[in-house]
Amino acid sequence: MSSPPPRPAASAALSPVNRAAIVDLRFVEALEALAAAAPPEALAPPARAGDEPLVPGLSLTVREALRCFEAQVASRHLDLEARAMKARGECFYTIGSSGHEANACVAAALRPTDPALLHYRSGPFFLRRAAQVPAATPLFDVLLGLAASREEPIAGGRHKVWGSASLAIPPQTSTIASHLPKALGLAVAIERARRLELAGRYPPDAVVCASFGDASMNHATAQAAFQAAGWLTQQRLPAPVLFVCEDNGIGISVPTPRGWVCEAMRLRPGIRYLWADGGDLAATYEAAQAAAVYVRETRRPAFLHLAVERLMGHAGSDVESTYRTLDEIAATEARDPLLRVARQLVLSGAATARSLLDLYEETRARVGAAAREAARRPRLETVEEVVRPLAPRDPARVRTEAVGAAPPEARARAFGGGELPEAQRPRHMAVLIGWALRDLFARYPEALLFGEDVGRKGGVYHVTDGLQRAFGRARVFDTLLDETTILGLAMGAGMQGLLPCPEIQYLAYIHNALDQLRGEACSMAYFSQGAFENPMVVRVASLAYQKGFGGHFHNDTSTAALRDIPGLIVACPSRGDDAAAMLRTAFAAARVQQSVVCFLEPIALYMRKDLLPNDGAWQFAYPAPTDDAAHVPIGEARLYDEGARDGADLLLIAYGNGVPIALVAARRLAEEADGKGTRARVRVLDLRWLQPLDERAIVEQARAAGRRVVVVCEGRRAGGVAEPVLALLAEHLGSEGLVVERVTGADTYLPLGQAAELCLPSEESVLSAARRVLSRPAPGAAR
Amino acid sequence: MSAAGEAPSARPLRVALVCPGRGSYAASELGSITRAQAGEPPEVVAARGRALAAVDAERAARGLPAVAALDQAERFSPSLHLRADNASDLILAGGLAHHGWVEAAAARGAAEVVCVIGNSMGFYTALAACGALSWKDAAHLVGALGAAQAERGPVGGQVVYPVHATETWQPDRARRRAVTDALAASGARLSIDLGGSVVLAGSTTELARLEAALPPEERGGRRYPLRLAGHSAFHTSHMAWLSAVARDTLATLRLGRPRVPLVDGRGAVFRPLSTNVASLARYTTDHQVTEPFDLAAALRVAMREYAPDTFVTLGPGETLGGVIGQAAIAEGYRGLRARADFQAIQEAAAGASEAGHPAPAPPLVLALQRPADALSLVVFTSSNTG
Repeated sequence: MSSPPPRPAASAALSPVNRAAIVDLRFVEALEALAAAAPPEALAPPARAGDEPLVPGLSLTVREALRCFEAQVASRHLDLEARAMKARGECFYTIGSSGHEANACVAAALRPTDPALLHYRSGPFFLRRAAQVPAATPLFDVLLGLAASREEPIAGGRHKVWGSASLAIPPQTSTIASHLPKALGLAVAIERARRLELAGRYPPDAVVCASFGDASMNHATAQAAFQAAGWLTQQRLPAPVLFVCEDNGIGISVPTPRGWVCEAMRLRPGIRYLWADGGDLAATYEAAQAAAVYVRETRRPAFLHLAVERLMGHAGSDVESTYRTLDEIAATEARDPLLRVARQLVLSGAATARSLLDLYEETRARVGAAAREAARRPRLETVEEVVRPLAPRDPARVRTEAVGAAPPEARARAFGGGELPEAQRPRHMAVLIGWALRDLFARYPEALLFGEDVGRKGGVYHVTDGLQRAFGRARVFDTLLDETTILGLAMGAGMQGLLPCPEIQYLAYIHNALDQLRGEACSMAYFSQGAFENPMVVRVASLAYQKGFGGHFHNDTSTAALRDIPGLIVACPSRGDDAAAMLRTAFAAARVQQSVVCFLEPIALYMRKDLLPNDGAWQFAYPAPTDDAAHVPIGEARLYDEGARDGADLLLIAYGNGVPIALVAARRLAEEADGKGTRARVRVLDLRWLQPLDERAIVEQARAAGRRVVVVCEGRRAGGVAEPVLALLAEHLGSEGLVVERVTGADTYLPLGQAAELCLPSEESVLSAARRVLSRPAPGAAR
Repeated sequence: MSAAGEAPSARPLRVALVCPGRGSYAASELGSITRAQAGEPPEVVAARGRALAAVDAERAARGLPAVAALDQAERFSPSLHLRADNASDLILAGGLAHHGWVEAAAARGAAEVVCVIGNSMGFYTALAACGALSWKDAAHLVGALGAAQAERGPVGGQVVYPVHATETWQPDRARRRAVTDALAASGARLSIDLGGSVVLAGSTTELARLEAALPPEERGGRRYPLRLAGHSAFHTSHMAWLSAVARDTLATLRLGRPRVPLVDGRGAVFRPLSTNVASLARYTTDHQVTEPFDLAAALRVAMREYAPDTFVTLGPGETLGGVIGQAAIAEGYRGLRARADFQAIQEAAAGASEAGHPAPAPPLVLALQRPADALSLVVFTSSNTG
């Protein structure tokens, strides 16, 4: 019933560039030759039953083989059509799956409820899985993605991804296997939820599948995931993850050394290695099935190594002939897995060549027609539309959630039956954070805390002391020494519906794992329009001023790399009661609006008790969790008016360690009288949240202080928080005149010992700046 | 206009075939099954003959008069035409009698069926139209189910309720919510989701409660919620007994793989190469009988995955045209956003066809019940040659 196949033009067939046309033509010609060689219908053997094995002794049935082939054919035509759409200016993505047909078998071996984190050549997997779920429309969904239409159901035109909520496929945008740590994290979280008897998003017997290529396997992030998987298994901790390496032998233009993937992975401790020839459908399915069963039943990781091909170049724009000879290219095309599968189906009697050819041509027509429809669907049109799903904010819900506590019995248990913390005397920040965590963990049974040394030791600064005893090792646990893995575990826990609170031991160490926040965690809501989430509150012992101890790694002050991550909330309390309240706000934001929060705890303020020597003024009462004050709205600064209620002469803007420095400076300035005997009225603004900034308070308070401002930032001069504050002041008050200085850290790594103090703001440097600002003519007066 | 049979220069029209269910044969359909029309290609005559022969053989075996006796009755009689056995046979015979138009169009390269959908009982017609059941076997299945229902009489019933905006035909969320609330309050259940309307079902008491709970409404001279005369609580657990009859009957028949993709009442697709016939049988006799039938999902899957130029509805009747139009508007298919868009492409195509010109774009719906639509299918060539 189908029309004759449109043939690629002869000129295209000769082109070294347009290999798509050649791959297409070769398939059609080979199938036609097979069809021509078939016996007449009357003499043909009877069609084989769907339940029979395709190859005697192996488990792939004829029917499953045909279903995989249907998915593979559809994927091939999506690749071909993407190039046609691009030529028409309708498509923005041409990385294809041709040659990676084997991954359909992995989908067939898994359940549609097994979460699958797929890399970018996963068309056959996606289509095979979608066929298991009624009412799925994978073909059109993919075409909408190619066309970058806002109607694409998962990313809404923000990227071309493989993703679907109903298919348990969280979209991935990684090109470097940086999704592997969270895949492992999700596997761990599925087991954690089971152990804690909590209902998770994915079933307790699920297997997590993560696929990637032979080149990206070499990436440090991928290696971190393999390492952590083995480390867990070594301790008999379950991690049901199936790593699928689709080895096409080349990374863009660089060949993978022959045998490298196998040699690197086959003897890896704790990870079972399996291999299959991806062009052999029955063998691939057998291996995928064995791997899936192994992982599901043993809850241990496996590594499925599939030998595949890469056809039609790296992407549509890649001219393969610049780094491969035409003979090499043609040899790869001759091994086209789709053709090999078709031959296997025909020669085993599963289908006639004619029926496969009909399917191929019907699918071509179908994809072509659907592509024309997809191309006319609307695209993203405004910035507001683009950023809408990035980090939804609902302050009212956050407030409602933040103010609350566990039932009294649970609280009493969490605090060991003694006096409740709000009834105790004021304490320093480390104690108040510890109490806040106890309250939160009593309230949220799904909350998990993990990191280096947080369990038995209770943290290097004892902030988490006793939490493991109080809440058990399933909820409070030590990890291996790898921040990438810690953040991967957090993402996985969030994806399973838990409430993770990972700890990064020092701010410097978050930078080695930053892509896990930047590329992965913070992009999840954006690229899935909220269909998938990975909320978390990352506690980070941060900043400097450890009295010369520790050197640069333990005194890092860099926040710029965090502040520019889209959607990330960055908190930085400077006093204990704020820290407790802000931590509750952060947990509430994670819980009700799926926020990713970095909670920077200034190490040097953990134990600080005094503002001025021996005054005990930097200890604070614990805010009871049901008090309204138990919550600090995200992005709301704290003003210290220091008695200057009717306006001020100077505003000091600070955060973290800068706050007590600024407060001391303000008091000293207030004690100094100028020549006329007047004393300066100085206010201090504690930013508390570094992202988003309290733009309104900054501008209003600067105006109220006569536009005389000193910004205190312990971060470096380049890229520190002073920069955006100054930019904001310039934008809003620049035309009115502004006298402003910043006191910042030096552009250096911090040295050891007392030399560190040379490089950081001090009371003296703040005072000097303040005096200079106060002594200059009134802003705007010169005009 | 070029004669039917002349090879078209453009590609064949991609057609999704939609088979109507119970309730499609009413007074205006009298005579529509057996009446010949001018210009019929031979395939149409043959198909009508085959359809009537298959259904009449079953009816004769059950002691029922031939379909022609019903179709050519002087007037429409609810007690006769809506009785379960007669009504079912009229639906199947009326559907298959029109199938010849599709065969004729395919033979001329004018159209190609890319998927088949049945609405409710029309799923049995769809099984025959896609080649999974022979027409004879389909007639036997439908006959057996119709006879069992006629013997037992209606069990509960169905009402229709619109959930689209009257003027634009766009989905109306507030009405959807009202339906959800009324279902929860009454114990009645969703039976068929048509997209723009819903069919709700339940026992007599449940329906009475439902009718009291739904905001009443008058549209096009009809009052909603509207009872469907003679219907049972189809696609609910009230029909579990009928499942048993369906299983026993289908076990004696030769169900095969469809020759064209078949989209079921969940939006799942049974494909020619890879269908598991046992699953298709199970769906047909179990889920399809006792669980909601989601025609809206089926239409959406057809639009997105098979991208038809045109939905062709078999007879009897042409009520599915509006349903398809509403589904297309909900999907934004072919750029349709509102009823006026739908009417515009329908009228442009009809006007062109009447004037003997190729249409600027194919119509969204062709109803084979309408002679002009039927004729245009066999001579139609898509202007879209992509």
